[in-house]
Amino acid sequence: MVILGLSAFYHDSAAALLVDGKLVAAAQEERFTRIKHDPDYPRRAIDACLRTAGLAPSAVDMVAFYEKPLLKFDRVLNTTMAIAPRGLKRWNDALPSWFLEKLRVEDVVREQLGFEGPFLFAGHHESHAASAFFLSPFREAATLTTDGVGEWTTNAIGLGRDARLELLEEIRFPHSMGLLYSAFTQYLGFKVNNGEYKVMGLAPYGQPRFADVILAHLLHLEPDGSYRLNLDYFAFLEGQSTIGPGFADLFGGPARTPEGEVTQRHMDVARSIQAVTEQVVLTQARYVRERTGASQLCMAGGVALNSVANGKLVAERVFDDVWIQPAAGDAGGAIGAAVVAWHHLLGKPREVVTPDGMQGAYLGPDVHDADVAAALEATGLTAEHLPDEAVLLDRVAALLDEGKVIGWYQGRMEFGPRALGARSILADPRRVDMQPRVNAKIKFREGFRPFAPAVPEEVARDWFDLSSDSPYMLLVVPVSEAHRKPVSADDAAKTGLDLLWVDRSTMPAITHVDFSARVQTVSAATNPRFHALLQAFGARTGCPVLLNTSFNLRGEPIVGSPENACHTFLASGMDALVLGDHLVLRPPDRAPTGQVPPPPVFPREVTTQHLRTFGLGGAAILGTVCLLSIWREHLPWAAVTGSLAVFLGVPGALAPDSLRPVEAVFLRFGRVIGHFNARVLLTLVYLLIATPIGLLRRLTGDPLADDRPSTSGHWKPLSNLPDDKERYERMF
Amino acid sequence: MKLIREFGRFIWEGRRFWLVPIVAALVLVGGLVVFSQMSPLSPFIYPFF
Repeated sequence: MVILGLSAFYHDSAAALLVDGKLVAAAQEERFTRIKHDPDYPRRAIDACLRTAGLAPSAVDMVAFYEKPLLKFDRVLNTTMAIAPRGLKRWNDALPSWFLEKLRVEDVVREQLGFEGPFLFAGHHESHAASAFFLSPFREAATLTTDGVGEWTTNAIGLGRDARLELLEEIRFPHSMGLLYSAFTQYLGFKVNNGEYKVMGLAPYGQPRFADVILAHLLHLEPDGSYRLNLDYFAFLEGQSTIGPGFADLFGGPARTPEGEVTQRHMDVARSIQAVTEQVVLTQARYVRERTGASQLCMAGGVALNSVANGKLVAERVFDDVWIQPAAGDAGGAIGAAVVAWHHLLGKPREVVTPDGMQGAYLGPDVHDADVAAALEATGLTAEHLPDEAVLLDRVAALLDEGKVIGWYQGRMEFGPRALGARSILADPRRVDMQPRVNAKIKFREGFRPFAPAVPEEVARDWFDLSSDSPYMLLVVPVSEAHRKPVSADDAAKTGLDLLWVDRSTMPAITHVDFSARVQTVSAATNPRFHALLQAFGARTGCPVLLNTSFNLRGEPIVGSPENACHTFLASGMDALVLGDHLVLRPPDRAPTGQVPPPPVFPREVTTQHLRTFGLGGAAILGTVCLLSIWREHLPWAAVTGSLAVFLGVPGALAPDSLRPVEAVFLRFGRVIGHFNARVLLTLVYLLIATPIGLLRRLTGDPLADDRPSTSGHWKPLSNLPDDKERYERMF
Repeated sequence: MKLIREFGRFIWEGRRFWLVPIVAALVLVGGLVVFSQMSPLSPFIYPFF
């Protein structure tokens, strides 16, 4: 039984392939199209998964989509109507994509894949929770999923036992921890849905002096971790901005511009929202333990990528054990939908896998020598082939010891936002100048951003205060006391970015200003070559730890092919590149270019049949206009339309492919006018139908209010339908 | 057709009858948008709706 799980049409499109219940492949579309967070139909990710599994598209028995489109559409309609007539722009921007893709998801997938089998829809938070629980090493566990918003749910609690997962309680849009964090991301000058990590990285430079302001004005937090946002300060209902007009006044100044200076105030704001987020996560976790009685917890959803909050949750021992889905964002929903289909719909039993079912998250395409050779030839690079692994690793360890920065492209690509030693940039963490250097000259990104360490799991506790393994770089923990250095009074008095240059540990390049580090513990079982490299570096230097950052430049997705890797290597200031068994040293005459080539443009696929229909259909329309013009005695117009009919009809019948450029020009012209006309029609529907209904509904109360009785605080009960076909075939 | 049927069930089961006029209008507009995008004749249809 082959199940294809899909996440698409919002952000982070992805595919996952489950064969007889085992996760065999998963990949995110952005890695192939080079469009960060690509939301389109994940054609290339699906191809990659099928190729990896050695399957043809016809082998797919079932497709599972990660959310319920009608429920989400209901939220979009409700939201735009609840704020009518202010929702016009959001309405016009959003609706065309709903008609073309989001509501037609089943048709789109069937057409693209040539698929005729069962098509299922799992809920958004159900997919998140399933991706966490069913892949976890726990037979029984509570689930806590938190993100911006799914269909309506923004936060959900569940309980999983063996092959059954039940969601118990939820918090609904517009109240959302994910959207609250995103509002601060925007306020601090970073991109929403992209820069949340930067806020987390900036936080340790600041003081939480605005935390009380957030809790007093923006977020009403209950003792059970449920909450309400004060919507007066937000604008995400309108969809044009996340923060509302009064937001900035609370924090002593206007929002930072994207390239503006990062001041101490910005750092304090970042620290404050981070502190509040940690408080919410911990409070919710305590409630979840009390509510479910479970001693283990699984987490997913975008907020579960907040590794600082995760580290504190583990350290506080609220649960005996915590497992977090490494692809906690929407991409991971593809896995969740597939496993929901396997266990809930097909009723298959669950085999609990240790350490977990994610296989180290190395689920993407592998490295192939033919692709490496083609990439080297295309980019004019020469490589040394070192098939003896010991020799290769010794050379790489020596280069790292010399202070070289290395691109590391090995084995199967990671699934999820973190580079875990398959598509990574590696460097020596012992050098105090390495963090600013890699930020400025290798990745061309903000100087304040910290880097993560990778360490063999069996020695991780010698270097970091870890209470559990952290294979997916999802826990921020302190560097162990033994490796910290005393900080002088002068250094202790430093603030802001001056803190970067303080030599505070034996591994200053991966020790953040608060002595923390986002650790990856590397297992010889899941990534033997990376594990062996860490050991080789440790044997040479006495420090088995490497700086590990994702193999990409600022604003780019992680590299998805050897050719991407070569281009990124040449663009950046990296000194060497290792592609499988091939070692490339930077040629002296190839200075960093600073730019990778633009993303490939994938041409529209236009078939001969399409062009024939275009030519003959166009000739028929124009011919009819011509005959009507003759009848009405508009002879000049008849001559024009008749000529055009011949111009299209003859090649349409005899040589349809010759119409390719004509069709492209017509289409471009038609699209401009059609886009305008569609907006006129949509505006009319909004103003004449949606707005009056929205205003009437507002007279009788808040259309977005969730009036169901609460189980506790603002938690609302979730009723689960039977796990039958009907539940998963429905789009709501 | 499945989409329209699903809309109908969604409205009926959730007693969301206020959605009926909006959905009816959107089905019309949406149908035009979809047809104009999917058909090989879309270059001719675009300018007319």
